[in-house]
Amino acid sequence: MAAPSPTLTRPIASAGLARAARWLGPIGLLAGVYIACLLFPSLTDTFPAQWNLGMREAVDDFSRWVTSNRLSHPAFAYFFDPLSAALDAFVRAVENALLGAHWAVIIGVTALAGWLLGGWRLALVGALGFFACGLMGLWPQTMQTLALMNVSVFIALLIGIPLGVVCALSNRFDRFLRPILDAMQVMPAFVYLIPVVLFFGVARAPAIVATVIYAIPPAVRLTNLGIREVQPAAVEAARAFGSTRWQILRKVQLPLALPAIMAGVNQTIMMALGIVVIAAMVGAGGLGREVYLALQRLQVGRAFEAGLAIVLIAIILDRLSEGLSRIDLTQYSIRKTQDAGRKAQNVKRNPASYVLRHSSLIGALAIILVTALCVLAFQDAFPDAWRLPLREPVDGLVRWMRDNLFFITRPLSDFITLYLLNPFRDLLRDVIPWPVVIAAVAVVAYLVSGWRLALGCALGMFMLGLLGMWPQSMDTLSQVLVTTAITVLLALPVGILASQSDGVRRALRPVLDFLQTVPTFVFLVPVVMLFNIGRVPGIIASVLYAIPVGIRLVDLGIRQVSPEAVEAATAFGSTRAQTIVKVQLPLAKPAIVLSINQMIMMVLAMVVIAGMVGGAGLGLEAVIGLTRSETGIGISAGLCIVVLAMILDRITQAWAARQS
Amino acid sequence: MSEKRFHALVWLLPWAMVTLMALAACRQAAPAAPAAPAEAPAATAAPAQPSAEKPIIKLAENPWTGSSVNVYVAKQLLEEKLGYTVEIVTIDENAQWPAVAKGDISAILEIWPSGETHQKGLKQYVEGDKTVVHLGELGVVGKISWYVPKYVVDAHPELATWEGFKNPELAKLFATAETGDAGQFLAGDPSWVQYDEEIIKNLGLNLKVVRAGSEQALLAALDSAYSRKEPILFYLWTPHSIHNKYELVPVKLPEYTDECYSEANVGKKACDYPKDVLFKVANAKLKETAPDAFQFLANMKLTDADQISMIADVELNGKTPAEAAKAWIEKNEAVWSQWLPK
Repeated sequence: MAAPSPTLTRPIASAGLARAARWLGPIGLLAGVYIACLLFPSLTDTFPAQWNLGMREAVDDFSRWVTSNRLSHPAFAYFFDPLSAALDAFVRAVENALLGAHWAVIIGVTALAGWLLGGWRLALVGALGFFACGLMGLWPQTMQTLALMNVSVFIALLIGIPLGVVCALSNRFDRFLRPILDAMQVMPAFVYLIPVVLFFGVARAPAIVATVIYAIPPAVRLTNLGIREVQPAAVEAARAFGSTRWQILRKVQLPLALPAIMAGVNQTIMMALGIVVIAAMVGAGGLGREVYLALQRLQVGRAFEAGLAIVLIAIILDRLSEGLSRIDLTQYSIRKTQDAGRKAQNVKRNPASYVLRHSSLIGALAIILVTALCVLAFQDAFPDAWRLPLREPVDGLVRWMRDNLFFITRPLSDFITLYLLNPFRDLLRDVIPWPVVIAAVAVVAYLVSGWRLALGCALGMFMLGLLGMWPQSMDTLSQVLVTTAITVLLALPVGILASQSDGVRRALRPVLDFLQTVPTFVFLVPVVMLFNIGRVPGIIASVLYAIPVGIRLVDLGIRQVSPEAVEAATAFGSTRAQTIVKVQLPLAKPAIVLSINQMIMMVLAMVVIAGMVGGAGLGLEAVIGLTRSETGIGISAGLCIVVLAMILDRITQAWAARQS
Repeated sequence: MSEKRFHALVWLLPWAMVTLMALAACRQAAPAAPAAPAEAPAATAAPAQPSAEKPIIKLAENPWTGSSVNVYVAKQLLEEKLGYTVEIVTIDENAQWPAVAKGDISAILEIWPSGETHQKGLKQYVEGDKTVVHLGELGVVGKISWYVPKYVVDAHPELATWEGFKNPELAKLFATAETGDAGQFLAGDPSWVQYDEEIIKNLGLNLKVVRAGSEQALLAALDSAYSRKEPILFYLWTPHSIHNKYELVPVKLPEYTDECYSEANVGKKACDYPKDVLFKVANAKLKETAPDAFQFLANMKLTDADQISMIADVELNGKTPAEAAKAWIEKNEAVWSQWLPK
């Protein structure tokens, strides 16, 4: 090949220069900001208090206004009060139906639905799941929680799906709603608990409202996504045939988006179950109340039983809704026409195949028969004599861990505190002046995306100071980053292992399901016993909560790497380890980065829980907001968590986008 | 999902539900339906029908045993002696004020004046818009203190009083990774009034406050430390069910004085916490809608010994709060007969 001509080297040199400039600019900016900070130490050592937005006072004034006008203002007499009365009546009706029904009927109907939606395995999961709740002596509580879930999810879908449709049809509305959905999902429920009580009273109504707020976002998002992903060709075809917009939506877009919408339903159910314990703090009763009362008395076993019942409900509803989403309505109508055709031809049928073809009917009749027998044989209330108490063994296990594992957990806890958390927190909070921290975040945002994101992130970080929560935010940020790092380090190898072996994956599934749905409150007491009060128990609880999603997404990402690439590598004689490291991991990188994004979000969702075990930072402020009825502090802390979440989310999303 | 199954689903589910419900209903009609399980879904479980013009009384139950037993004593007496239907609403103590002001809760029977929320509640609802009325003292007197386990005082008798913590050597026994060289003072639930930082500073103690963030966390840390006989210093109060489980000793602080807690002395507190005289409140309308219940709740008064005996019954003898309350009622007719309106 000929030597490169001078005309060719020039662009390369300038590209190198551009790359250097790309790095030099940010470094220069950071240095400049740092020098400026040295010049004005009084302004930059701590975030100036006089810049505070006064948000806290405004919120407190508003909640004072609400409490003093609540009995007289028409908004309450004609809107909130009737609304909460209606919600209350609705839940009570469902609750009465579930509590009044014979326990065998509930189990039978669940088994039947499972049988029809997914076969004998699902039927068994449904029946055994509820039966286990009864065995733990939690039947009435389970029914109460189930009623609350059903109504909340129903309302969340009633609002969420239409909103999702509107989002799909209007880009402007979508852009408007997106940050609101982010905020609803990340804002800790602790923060709006007191305001919800102010507006909706106690017991069922506020529990429903809090649950709906938390559970709506996935319904909106996935409906929106589903409709947007409908092939434009299908829509075009319908339009060409002269369909109106409404017809296109109803006959083409919605049916084709059904799998995504059903995934949204599934996610909504999971989110709703995540808030059961918090709902109990405003009098919602049910399983959440069990967890709440047990924790105050350090009865880990009792809390575990109720937590397990919540997990079982989650698994049953998850599998049933998954089964429901597999129903393919378009397929169904095609088959129906074919069937009619066959019938018209009067094809002769073989009597042996009759049993086979009607197996689902026969199975269903069998389930009904068994249920009917149970109804006749047993009392309405779940028999007291049937008990399988788990609390003693669990309490024993916790005691054993406390007595025997502490020699490992104490040094581990001290190490994390002294060598990871302390230096990192001190660096962010005390050593580096706040403008430099903001500039550094902006630089990271600029490098992964561009100046728009950099500007947004800088404004967001500035907001933390304006809300008067700079030191707490930096404390929390340091904890979130350390926690995410630990989670990623643990999730990556396990996820890779799961992606290589179906057996590992199957074995992990129940464990991950459990970790993901068990109320994190159940972990609080054991983690404190093992790791001492401080920031570490919160970190451990957050890792436990965030790791299932990480493992699942890493596993999924690697499995989605095209098999051709893997085969090619194997054909060239690379070992399994080489294939993983050289082919699968690099190709799965976008998915892995996305999993990191999800892990950060999960960790942020745990900030308040961390605050309840000595985590300080924003979590503690949010807890103070609830427990001292200082809604202003609570809302400010909640907003800071939302801002941090958005910054970290957008940066990691942009980073993920760069990978693909 | 085969089309057959879907077809079957469409037809079977509703029919099956109807038949099974009908079957259950028939069965229920025949023999007397068994009573609902004892204390089962107490969180306002069976939505009671208002009986004969009498409104439903809704009592707030907070998540500690003392509160539960009070509420069950009141519930059983109101139902048996005055013919009311009582619903128990299990709720966080900080969420209950707006509810009692609105009437979603009729009365709260155990309020600790040291709770920050309760100070605000009194100011806003009792003195302010008068939607809540004070129902008098419960009779139980609480007290916040600094506590250490008894084994700490056995090993270092100096630590029975605050002066012991002036000694950096002794204070350092309580140090953790979070506190470095200083001893750790574990502060509990952030909802409580806490002057510990002030007291520590003004007494010149070598301690650092770590905020546990919740009562559960504090109790779990105590349990863990106690099992290993490790030194631990923390904020707690009496009566509390945990005293049945561990031997705890209050650390003697300089005597409480009114001057020490006067408004002029902000930031200079260097003395013990005041006593907590527990009190009751009710929704203001209860007096008109249920005058005898109102009178009964206002008269209701328990001594420390009464409450501690019931708490012990729950914590040590494994009874439910309802059973403990029942046992107390059976033994103490002379006490509660005084509460019934004349």
